[in-house]
Amino acid sequence: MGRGSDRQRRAATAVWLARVASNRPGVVQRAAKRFGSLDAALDASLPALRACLAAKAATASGRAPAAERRGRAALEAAQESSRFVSALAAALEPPAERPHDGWLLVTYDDELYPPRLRTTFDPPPALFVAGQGAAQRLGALAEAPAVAVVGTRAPSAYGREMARLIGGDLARAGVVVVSGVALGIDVCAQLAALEAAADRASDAPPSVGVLGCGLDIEHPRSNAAAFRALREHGLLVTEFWPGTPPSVWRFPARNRVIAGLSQAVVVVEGSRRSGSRITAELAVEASREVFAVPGEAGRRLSEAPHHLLRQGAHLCEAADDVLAVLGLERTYGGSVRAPGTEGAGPAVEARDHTDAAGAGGGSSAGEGAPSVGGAGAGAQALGGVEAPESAGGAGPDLAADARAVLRALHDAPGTAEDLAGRAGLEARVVTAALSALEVEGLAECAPGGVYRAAR
Amino acid sequence: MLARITSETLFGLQGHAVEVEADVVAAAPAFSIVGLPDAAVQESRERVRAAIVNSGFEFPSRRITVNLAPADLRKEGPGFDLPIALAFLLATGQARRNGGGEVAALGELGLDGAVRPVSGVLAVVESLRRRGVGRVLVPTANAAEAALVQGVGVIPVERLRDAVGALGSGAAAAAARPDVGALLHDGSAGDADFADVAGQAVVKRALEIAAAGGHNLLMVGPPGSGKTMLARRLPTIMPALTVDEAIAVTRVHSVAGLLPARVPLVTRRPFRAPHHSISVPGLVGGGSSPRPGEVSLAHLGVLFLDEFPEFRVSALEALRQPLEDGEVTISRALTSVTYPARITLVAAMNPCPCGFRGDRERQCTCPGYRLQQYRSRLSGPLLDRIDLRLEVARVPPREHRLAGRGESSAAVRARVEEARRRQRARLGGAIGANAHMTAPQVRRLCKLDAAATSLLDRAYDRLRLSARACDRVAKVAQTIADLEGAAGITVSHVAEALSYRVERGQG
Repeated sequence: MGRGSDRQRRAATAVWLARVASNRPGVVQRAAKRFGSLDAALDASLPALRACLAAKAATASGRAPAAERRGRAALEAAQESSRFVSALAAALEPPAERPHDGWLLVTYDDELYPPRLRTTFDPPPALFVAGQGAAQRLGALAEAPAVAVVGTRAPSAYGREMARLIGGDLARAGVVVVSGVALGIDVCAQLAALEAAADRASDAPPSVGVLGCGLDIEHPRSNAAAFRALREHGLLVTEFWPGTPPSVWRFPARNRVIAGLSQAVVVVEGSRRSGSRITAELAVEASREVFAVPGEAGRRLSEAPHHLLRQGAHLCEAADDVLAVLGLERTYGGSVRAPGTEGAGPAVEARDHTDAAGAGGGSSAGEGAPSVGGAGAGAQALGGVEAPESAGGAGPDLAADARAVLRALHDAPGTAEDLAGRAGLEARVVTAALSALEVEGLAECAPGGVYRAAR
Repeated sequence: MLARITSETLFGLQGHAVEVEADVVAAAPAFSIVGLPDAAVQESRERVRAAIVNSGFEFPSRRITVNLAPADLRKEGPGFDLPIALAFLLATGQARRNGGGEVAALGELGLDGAVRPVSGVLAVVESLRRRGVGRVLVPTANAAEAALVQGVGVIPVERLRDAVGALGSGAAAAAARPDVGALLHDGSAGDADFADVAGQAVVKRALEIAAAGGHNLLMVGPPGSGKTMLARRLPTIMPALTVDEAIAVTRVHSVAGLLPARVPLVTRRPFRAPHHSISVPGLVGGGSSPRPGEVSLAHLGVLFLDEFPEFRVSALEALRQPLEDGEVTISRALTSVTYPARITLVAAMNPCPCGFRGDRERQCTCPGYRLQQYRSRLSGPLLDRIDLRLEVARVPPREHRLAGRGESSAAVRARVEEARRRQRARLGGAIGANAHMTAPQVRRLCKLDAAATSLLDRAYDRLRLSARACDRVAKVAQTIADLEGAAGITVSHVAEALSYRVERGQG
């Protein structure tokens, strides 16, 4: 056999293995263990592979026996089992022509196969990739820095906001945001990335969605807009055969691909037993950097990130924290939330930093809180709010109040009630100031009446 | 022999004269009531017969015909027992009428001859006064309520025998008119007070504005954030009821049969909180002879609709007329009834079906489509009639303990009343409060200074407000200015009003 036919045989083995692996957990890992690595497994003969994996067919991998499952679950398990057996029995076929139905089939040996993924222990033998100009984007992905942002499917308003901020800022810095197109944190981060990098010239996709099912299935359906955006401007990647339905065991498998494609994983919110914690553990195994966004103490959604922080994960308050550890430069400007990468000291100092960024200049805005009045686009815009001298009653100066409230907003978001307490102002003064800030586009109100400084 | 006594039936709040005639002739014994009586009136034959016998009168074996005239008007309720019995006793010569002027009677009879209270006495006696009836016999339990009407001699009767006596003497003592001022003064203090609310300064401020300007408001907040508790305290900071207002409220409550016995007057602004499963007739009034619904029972008070989007759409839509006109008209085949319904609407809703969207501590589990469904239940026209929206957050228990008692209802009410006085001076009597201004009136009467106008214009562009929303902001700003005692509307007033705007971008 010549070199060419050897390559072809390896590609066929990879596709065969991908098909088998689509219907039973741990197949790739088993093959890689048995032959030392996936690379070696692809060189193995078909009978040897079959023999290694056939045992898998018998053990049913410790899952609940079919009898205990009911209804649809039992039916799906039975179908999966029969697909696994028939895939195992199938002959090697040369891989399908590419591109196929608008998607791309990339096997382990292909040049386009993401190099970071290839270096993991049990990488997918083949990947299905969808998206406009998929080949080009996949090629660019190899060069671009990539960071996974994952978390709970039911985030709090804070988690949503952090996912949006981090996803958007990473994309602005030229980083590919990898995630699982799940509800909640995943889709928030990915949509923010797609939005932030809408007019980016580079070939690298702003975001890559890794699926736990076939490319032809959009799960969950309510993320249809995100799927559309990812097909148009990003990439959708899966190791699963077309038509494979989503099921519980495929999500951890997908998470290993998310971790494998990225240089770092950022966990935003999650409970103790959440999938994002699994992703973080897989990331550690694949020697990726792990970041956790701190939450409020004692909250269920803070459990996963705080557990990771205790284990030594990096603290992530903003995209800059990730960029600093990965040795990347901030290539974007104008972010309000920029605590600074080196020793951002007490709150006041950080605030000055912020206002300087707001003014678009790099120069320091002087010392202490009063400087806010003199610097920043915020203060200029507020000039328009200033009550004229002629106003009857000469009430409290709205602009000054608005500045005080803006300072409190930069410290932390809060309801009008919180802000009144922190700024030491009356409730009605704060609500008026917040509206003025909102009109000038300097503050935003989220559900629950929580205001935050606009970016 | 024929005898006649006058009485009154109510259709809505409108009284109609009813002449009760009794004729006793020597013929085969029978007792029949004619003149379109309803079931309760038909049954009064049995009550009247027993009451007469048990009061020691005679029930002769003759043919007795009672006619309720006019014959084409439907007569309802047990209030005709007493006039029927009196007409019968007059016809059989067992009672005698003495003294000048016409005498009316109303009351239900017990089998033992006791006179029991009936509903709607206030409206009935008012109608009698308009007809020029000089004296009226009413059940003792209703006497104080009836005596609110000046110019009619109200004679309380405990038993059928007392009524016969009063009819005969012509000089029975009339009940004294209750001291309305004292009643209102004593009765205005409730057990709920603004001082009970811990923290929540923003919400309290919004409630004060709502009370001062008569604005309807929408509260959005998770379960347990105290929406009901806050709404319940809104009536306590609204201006105290005037005598006329108290009588107007009493009239409706009396017709609905909700006035407790021996209580002459509703002294506090009503607070009605119907459950969201309420039917359209239950909410706006209805029935074959239309009874007042919750909107009318909340007249001059607060109608609180918790779980606002859960109300049936037809019920919410039916609220539009009363919110616009301050009254509700219920049409029937032959006639229509109008009840007053000048209410302050307080609507409360969760931010989402599960209630925890935007909450600091709990997570929202609502799928997007459910959220959309939930919000789409609130129609634009209905929201157009709501001026204030406020977000109510849950206050952690520790903050409850830390927060001292707030300002009392009386202190807030003093400011509200002052603001109302300013409004009356500016608006005249026709428009009660800022909230009731029409769009042209807003443009004519709300004087915004230059900075305030420019802020509102910018808000129109930047916050994508509609023209109607701008008008509502102007109205609320006017109320804020009134609370402050300012001559015109300044930029601070508009800015604060903007923070309560109903339309908000929803993340």
